Parts: sequence; structure tokens; C-alpha cells
Amino acid sequence: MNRYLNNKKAIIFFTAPAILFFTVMVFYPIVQTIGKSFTNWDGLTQSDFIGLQNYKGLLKDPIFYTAVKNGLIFAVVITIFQISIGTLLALAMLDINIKFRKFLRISYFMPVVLSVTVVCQLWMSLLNADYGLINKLFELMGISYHQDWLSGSKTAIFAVIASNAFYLHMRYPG
Amino acid sequence: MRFRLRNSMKMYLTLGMFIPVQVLMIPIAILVRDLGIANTRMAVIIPYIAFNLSFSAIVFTGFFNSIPAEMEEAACVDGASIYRCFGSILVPMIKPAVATVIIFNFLSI
Repeated sequence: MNRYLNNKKAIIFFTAPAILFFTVMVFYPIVQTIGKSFTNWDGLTQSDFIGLQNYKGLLKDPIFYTAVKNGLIFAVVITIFQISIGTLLALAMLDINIKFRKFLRISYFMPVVLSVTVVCQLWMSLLNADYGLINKLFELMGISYHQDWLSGSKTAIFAVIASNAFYLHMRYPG
Repeated sequence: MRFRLRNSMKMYLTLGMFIPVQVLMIPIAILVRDLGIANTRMAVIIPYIAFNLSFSAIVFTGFFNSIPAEMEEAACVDGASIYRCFGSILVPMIKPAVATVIIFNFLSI
């Protein structure tokens, strides 16, 4: 039995294609990215080794800190919203007293099947400053809360988070 | 299958899930050009296969581990080769995993 499972030829036959593919298409580019990060390569010309200069420049760049801050806000808010709203929606679906459970189940899964482009266009028209649905809703209720959601410096990150949370899809690389 | 590098191989494939695609885009564009497959369908297909490989491998590992070892033993006792055991016993048993992986990979593209 042990000899049966320790068959060297079979092990190579089963694992080699995947490992080879992965090494060439994922691992080798990772190594190359790390290597290129120590040079002043601009994409076209020859590159010179400049050590940790790029990383020093990154730490001095104020935009880098804004990016990190926005990334953290994005991660925290999206986790909280997805888990809490997702739990509530799941509980609503499991409640036997609710009549249209099948409809709920289908509607929950709809954004996953839609392509990214469709979802983006949908949210762009929802969040539009002039004729967007959200601004129109506020107008209808008589609240003067008219905002430019996608280009305001405070609101843009939350608009992006909302559209991303809607798209409840496990996004792994690919 | 049992061999020494099994766990490190699994970790190596899991690594692919933690790398954002954007980091790899420029090296892959250069790699694809150097392989001579730029401007063909293969230039898109091959990187996509590689990126989805790690997720698929993790799903399949989980499903294969859930199959009892007695199945392989029985196949061995009955005289099946390891390839026959894989093709006629293990793969039919993980049809649900195959369906899951097909759906996920199809949607992620």
C-alpha cells in the first residue's frame, strides 16, 4: 500500500503540470516584481540598481498614507457591512413565515452572476449627481441633501464601498 | 498521495491567493511577449489558468482529503493502477467539487 502511494512517477505526473504553470505564470512574476522594485526602471529603457531608493520615496509620499488610510477604511467598513447585512438577509431568507423566500434567494445571488461592468454602470447611474436615483430620492422626500457622490472628497470612498459591498462576491486574484 | 513535499507544495499554491493581480500585470505582459504568445487568445487564457489554479487546487485538496483512504486501498487490492484508481474512483467521487470549481472559475472571468 505504501509503495502504491509513494509511486514517484505518479506523484510527478499529478503535480508537475500545476507546479510548473504556477511557477512560470505567478511565482516568476512575483520574483521579477520584487527585483524590479530595487531599480529605477521606467518600463522601456535599461534599469540601474538603486537599492531602497523607491521605498524611501514611498515613505515620504503623502499620497501613500492617504492610500493606506483609504484601504483600511475600505477593509473595515466593507467587512462590517457585509457580515452584518449578510447575516440579516440570511436570517430573513431562513424565516419560514416569509412568503417569497425563493425570490429572495434568487435576488441575493443576482449580483454575483452580473458582470463587473454591468454593476459599475448600474452604480454610476445610481450615484450620479444630476439625475442619479439617490439624489432624486432625497429630492422626493424634500430633504436638501443633494450631493455629488462620486466626486466629493468625503463621499467618494463610501460610494465605492457601497457598490463593492453590493457585489458580494469572493474576489480572489483572477 | 503521500510525499515529503506535500505540505510545502500546498503552501506554495496558496501563496497565489494572496497576491493582487495588479502587482503581476507588468511582469506578465513582458513574460507573455517573451513567450511569443502576445496578441493571441493564449495570452489571456494562460495567465487566467495560473491565477485560478491556487483556488481550484485548495478546493480539490479539501474534497480529496474527505474521501476515506479505504477507497484507494480497495482499488489497490483489486489491482487497479494508480492512474486507474484516480480516473475511475476518485474523480467520480468528487464530481460536486468539479462542478463548484467550474462555476467559480467561469464567474471569476
